[in-house]
Amino acid sequence: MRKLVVLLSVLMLTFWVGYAQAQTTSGKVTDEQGQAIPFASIKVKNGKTGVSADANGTFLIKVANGTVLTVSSVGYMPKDVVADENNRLVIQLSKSTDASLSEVIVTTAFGVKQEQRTTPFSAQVIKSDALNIIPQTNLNDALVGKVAGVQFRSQSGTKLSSQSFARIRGGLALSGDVGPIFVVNGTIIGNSYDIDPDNVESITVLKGANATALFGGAAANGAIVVTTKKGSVGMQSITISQGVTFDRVSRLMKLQNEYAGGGVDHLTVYTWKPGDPEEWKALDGKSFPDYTDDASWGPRMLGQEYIPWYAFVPGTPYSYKTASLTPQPDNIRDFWNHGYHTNSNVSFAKGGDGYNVRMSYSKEYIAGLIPDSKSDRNTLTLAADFDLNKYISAGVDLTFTTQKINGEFDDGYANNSSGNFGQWNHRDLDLNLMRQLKDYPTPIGTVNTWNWGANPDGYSAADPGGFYKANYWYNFYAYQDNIQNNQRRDRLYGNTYVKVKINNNLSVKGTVRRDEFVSYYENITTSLLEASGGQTGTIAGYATGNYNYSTTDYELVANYNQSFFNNDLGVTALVGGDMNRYIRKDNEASTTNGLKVPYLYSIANSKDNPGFSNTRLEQQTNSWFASGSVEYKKFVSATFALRQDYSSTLPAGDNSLFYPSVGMAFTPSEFFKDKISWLSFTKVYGSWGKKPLNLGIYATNFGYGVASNTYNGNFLMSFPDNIPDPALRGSLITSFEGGVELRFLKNRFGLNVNYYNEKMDDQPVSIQVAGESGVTSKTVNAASVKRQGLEFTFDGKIINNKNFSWSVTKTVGWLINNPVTQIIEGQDKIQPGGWIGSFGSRYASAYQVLNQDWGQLQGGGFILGENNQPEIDPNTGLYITGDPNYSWGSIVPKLTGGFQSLMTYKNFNLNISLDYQSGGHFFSLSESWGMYSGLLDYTAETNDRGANVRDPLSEGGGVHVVGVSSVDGKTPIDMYVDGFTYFHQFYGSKIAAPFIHKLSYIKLREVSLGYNLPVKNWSFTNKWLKGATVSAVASSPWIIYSDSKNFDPSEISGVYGEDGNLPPVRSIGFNVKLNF
Amino acid sequence: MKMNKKNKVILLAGMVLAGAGFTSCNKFKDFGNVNQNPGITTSPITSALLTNVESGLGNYTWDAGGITTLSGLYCQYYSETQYTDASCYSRQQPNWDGYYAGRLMDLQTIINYNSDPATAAAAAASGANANQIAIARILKVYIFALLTDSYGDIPYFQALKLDNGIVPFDKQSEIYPDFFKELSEAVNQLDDAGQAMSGDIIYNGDNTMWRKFANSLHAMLALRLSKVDAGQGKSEFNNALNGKDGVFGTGETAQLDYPDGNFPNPVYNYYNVTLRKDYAVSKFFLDGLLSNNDKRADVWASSTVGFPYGLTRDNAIAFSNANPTWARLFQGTATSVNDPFYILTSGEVFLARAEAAQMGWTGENASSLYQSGIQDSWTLNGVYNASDFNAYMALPNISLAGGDEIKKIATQEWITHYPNGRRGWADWRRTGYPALTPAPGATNSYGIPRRMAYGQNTLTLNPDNAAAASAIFTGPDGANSQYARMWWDKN
Repeated sequence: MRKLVVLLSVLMLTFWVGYAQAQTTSGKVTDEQGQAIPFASIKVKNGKTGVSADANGTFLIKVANGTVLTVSSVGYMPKDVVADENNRLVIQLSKSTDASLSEVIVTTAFGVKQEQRTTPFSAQVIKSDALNIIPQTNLNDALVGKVAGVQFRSQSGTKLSSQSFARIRGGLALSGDVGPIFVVNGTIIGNSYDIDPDNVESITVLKGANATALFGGAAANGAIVVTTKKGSVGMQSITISQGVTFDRVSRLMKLQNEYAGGGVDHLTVYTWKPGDPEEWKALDGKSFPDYTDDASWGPRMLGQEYIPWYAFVPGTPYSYKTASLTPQPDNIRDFWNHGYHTNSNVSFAKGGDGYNVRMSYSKEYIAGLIPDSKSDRNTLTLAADFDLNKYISAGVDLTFTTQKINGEFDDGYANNSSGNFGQWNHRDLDLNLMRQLKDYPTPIGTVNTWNWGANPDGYSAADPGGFYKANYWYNFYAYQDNIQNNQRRDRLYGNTYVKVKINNNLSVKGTVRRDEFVSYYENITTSLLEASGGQTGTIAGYATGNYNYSTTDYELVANYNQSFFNNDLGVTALVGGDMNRYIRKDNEASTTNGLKVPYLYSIANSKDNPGFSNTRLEQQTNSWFASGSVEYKKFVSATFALRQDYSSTLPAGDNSLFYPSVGMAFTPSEFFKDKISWLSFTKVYGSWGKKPLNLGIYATNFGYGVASNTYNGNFLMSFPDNIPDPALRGSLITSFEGGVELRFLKNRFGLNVNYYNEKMDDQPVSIQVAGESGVTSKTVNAASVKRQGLEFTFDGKIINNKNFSWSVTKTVGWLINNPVTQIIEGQDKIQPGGWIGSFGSRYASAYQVLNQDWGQLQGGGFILGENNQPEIDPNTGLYITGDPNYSWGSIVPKLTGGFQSLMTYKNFNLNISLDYQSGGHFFSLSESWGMYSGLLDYTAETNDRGANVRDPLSEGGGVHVVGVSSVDGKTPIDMYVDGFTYFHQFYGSKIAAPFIHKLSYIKLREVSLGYNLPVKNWSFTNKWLKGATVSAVASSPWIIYSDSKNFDPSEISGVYGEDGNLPPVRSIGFNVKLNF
Repeated sequence: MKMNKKNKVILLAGMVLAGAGFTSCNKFKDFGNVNQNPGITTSPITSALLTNVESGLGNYTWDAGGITTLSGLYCQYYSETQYTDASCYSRQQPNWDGYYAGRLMDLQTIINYNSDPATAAAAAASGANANQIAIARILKVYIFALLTDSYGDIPYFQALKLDNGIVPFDKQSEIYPDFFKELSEAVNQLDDAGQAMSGDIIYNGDNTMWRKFANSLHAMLALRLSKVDAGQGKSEFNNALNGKDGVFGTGETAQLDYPDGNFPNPVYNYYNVTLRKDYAVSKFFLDGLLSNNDKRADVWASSTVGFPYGLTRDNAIAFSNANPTWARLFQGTATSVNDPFYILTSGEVFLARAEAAQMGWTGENASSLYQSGIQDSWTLNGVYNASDFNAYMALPNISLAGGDEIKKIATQEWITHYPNGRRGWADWRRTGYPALTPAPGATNSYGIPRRMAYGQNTLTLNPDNAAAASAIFTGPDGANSQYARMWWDKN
């Protein structure tokens, strides 16, 4: 560190020397909105000397006072200005009328900006207008379909803590999905969750090694580089926007509406017996359905008189009365709240000579689908830059987010809402009535339930709880009232820098970056819920935890750029170093096995020794890096990047990773652009590089932990289940990409085709090994994965009139293949750690299989006989036990893409975004139970004999099964099987086939119809209002096509499937934006 | 190229300085202890490993992961009350990783750490090296026997070597002789002059009891060979009886006394913490006890309503609804958190000796051993009183006097092993007693499973070796059959 200080001092000294000698004019080039124009050319009029502005539009030029300078940039009208040593120049260029598109600027590591026309790698840039077609709660949601080759997997904003996932170009890490990093103004933050889309100016998506090398190991799977809005020169603005959208559940599992709940297909007559509650006498002789079984194999709902579950809840208008048993087709839809979210933003920006400031405050409030679930998030950002003088500038950029989330909204098996409705439920429940009755206790004071612990004929006066305590499930609403999950998340990230511009060619910038996260949660399960449960498995408790982690970077970067030979040759170079520090300290505790004193929620009140955990993680990485580019006559450019990381997580003797990359781009159109008039621009590019794959924190450690509980005073230790290979080391990804970029008809249409080929060899991965070794996993360098694919981006300004413009963008990513080429010797199939034993392992889950594409969905398939007909036991008509290794193929879609259309007519604009994917598979655990429980529509459908599949075989019922005999594999079988037996067989035979679906879909994601009020023409507003826009927006209004009818394949929450997925929502709302 | 000289100098100086600054600085490359996980130690405390192993033996005996009671279902101690798949013989393939990578590796570590000259001295803080190694060897045999008696051939000689786990499966016929060798050697290795092993929550380091346990286990395993190799069985049975300190005498057991809710009795935990009621005492077992006025029924079941075995789900639910007081294991929710779990009891050992005597393997008196075995079991369960016991022993289907001695002894062995389904299922397979009727709701007609099928993990991760072993156990449902018989299963 001391050496760094010395280095900094020397550089400062150099600067002072340079400062003392300079006779220099400084300036900044901006567009009409005051936003910087990077790389503009500044030349002495009619002379030979000149300079280029840097990426921020600033420049220094040494000329005599009064010299006329010509400032120009592609897409803008050139402008002459007079140099003046004492005045800093602010030069505003206006858009030229003949060129339809200006230069696109790509942002890479350390804020390096490049013109897209010369980048030798794929770098897609999305501007805020295309990004924010509608207000989205999550940046990932806003990006869906807009980036070629990226699959976004996320749930709607109503899943309040949804940490959506982006998968760039298929899988590469054998250990499972690792997403790209998000970089906000140069600060790496792990995910997109705390990026306020309101603040985003533009996004550059970088995928290949040459593009991301300088970000270091974290960017192994790509980088999504976010540039936020800034104040602009000479402007001051206040914007206020307010959006409201209303969320309605859009797609629910298709359930049957013929048969009521229970495991018994008829009503049973209740006969009052001594000892039964007196009030029940009113029900004597009436009939009840089976309340205890949580499936829906009950009697047909024909409006017949029956005793509903709520007849046993005292004190209501329905107590001890019968009702008629009727279908409730909308009951699940009735449960889900009508959620909404509001999005408010106010921002202030001002810029002037040598400074710009922007402040923004956003408030996002979401009322979730589940009763009482809500999220309240407030984001404050401050960004300011100022130039102290010609040479020194400094700035700060901070984002603070604080969020409160309340409610129980985790989706998953058995969660008394989404995990329940399609898996274990009664189809005859009236949920509006259930909501009305949620606060009525049973006679023993417990929460009521539709799933009584016994049927009334099993009531025992000695043990009333045997009846009144919920068998498996509670009144859904009462359950939500008794689960109180609260969390708070605070996050602060940003940077501050000092930059010294030594002369027009050389600058040095020192930056400190910080990303800090502090969070706590408190979860309470009430004693009432425990007291109310039979086999619900619910025990009262209190759990709390604090998370605290931070990443700090100290960066020092020198930038050099200069032009030679009349600007024919441009050279840039960057050299620098970075010290990265990551610390995480978490503490969590929870009560064990219940509470000593009921209703007292504290850790000390734990019935047995409380559980606790204490996470302490630390990582340090030091790096140096250099990159540079040479560009000749805008015809050919070459770039290189080198970076060396020293990481604390690597073995001490071998703790560095060095990774180079190179790239070249040719622009042949420079030669023939005048000859081929329709071809305005051609670029051919290619790049090759390496990306590092670091080890996880403590991955090389081996040791024994101590259990927190003692056994009669004896403490416990165990041999770890995972051991590291002593030779464990980091490794590198090799990446190649190349492509062609063409623009036609005066740049109006563009096509980019990009090919990539990447390989990750010797991956350090915790790999599952057979337990007979003594451990269940080892961390070794033993896996290789390859992937190659094509990415297409098409854009067009189809119409570009003054009154009417229409532009479209289309992206397609095609994953050609993604094979796993090496696992551990002797194995050909493994499961990454996070996939082992997760849901669905009985039926199907994802594996990495040698020589097959990354992420294979495998599990119980039909055993197939002749002509690929499933084998069926000829005696029973049931399928024989499934083949546990049946493979459905990859969990990754082959094709992903999207289409955006931005249309403007006078003051109206209509923007549409659509996305799709094709291929890939998922497994639905909900469907497996939904079938078992007789909930899904087809468990009560009419068969081809005209009877219901549940009707007796003798009456023409049953499921028609066709296949071949399991005895010889060929004798045809064609018979009917009793519905109950048929739909129950899959659990026992572990056949997953009916529950596997493709991820293919086409979805209309966003629609926005906006109107710019002509405020400038109105005398009462033109003085103070610069602009006003109102828009009507719709989010996910239409799933145009999907392979799965029960789910939205774009919102599958698990890597390889869903388990009680929260349903998707359709949101409609409006947005108002005022600009002062 | 016309590079400005000053710039060139500055740039070069900058690069050199940066290079020097970043790479020569030692701190830039050396991170000290940053990557040392503060929550773990590289030196195991062997007594703590032993406590860990022993604390889980109750759960191990009832199959992996607590009260998932596969073997107890197969020998019809228990019935499933709502999800009846296992008792209707749908194919179960429990993984064994938790045994190998769990307690067996802990035991191997005790052995390794005490054997390696570099660590033996440090390990001796937990007791004499010889004592630690011997105890670990005995427990290894105990756990490995659970595995081989469930699956048949298993990785044994090449297991626990911390390699990639691609290791061959060994024949059960070769594993059993090694069990006998290990137990005999361990008995002789225990060194009373050396410091007792600490962390021992079963015997508190009492070498004499460890020898008795090892010899008793030796005898139980020798008896397994009664049908396949009576010669070896007989000689090993006698070796066991003649081992130093002999076998369990009256009232001697290997048992776990559960201290508290963090280490609760598994039955207590099942009914009171997981709050499930999937398991009942089977009607077949309970009615058998009740019909003979066997007083152990009072302790082993929470009511007198046994649950019919092997019903379909519908029938099970119907029965459960109609009989809400069906018998839970032991006292159901009233089971004490501290109730012990018996790993091996003197009653079981007496009955094994009775059978050996009856077969002529020893010169002991079968009839008196038989009586001692049953009486010890009654006493251990706190239900012994002379009048009930004598009446019980006088019943014609209990008393050995009426003939059918092997059948009666084997039936009593099956009863006395309760709730230890591992041993109950093994003895039923070996002797054929009692005669069990396959589940009426069975999904196939192959009868009662006679082994557990290899789990998916070994089939996937040790594929060639597991496939070879699976082929050996081919039955009506194909390779890796749960109906194929293992080496000693010759009944």
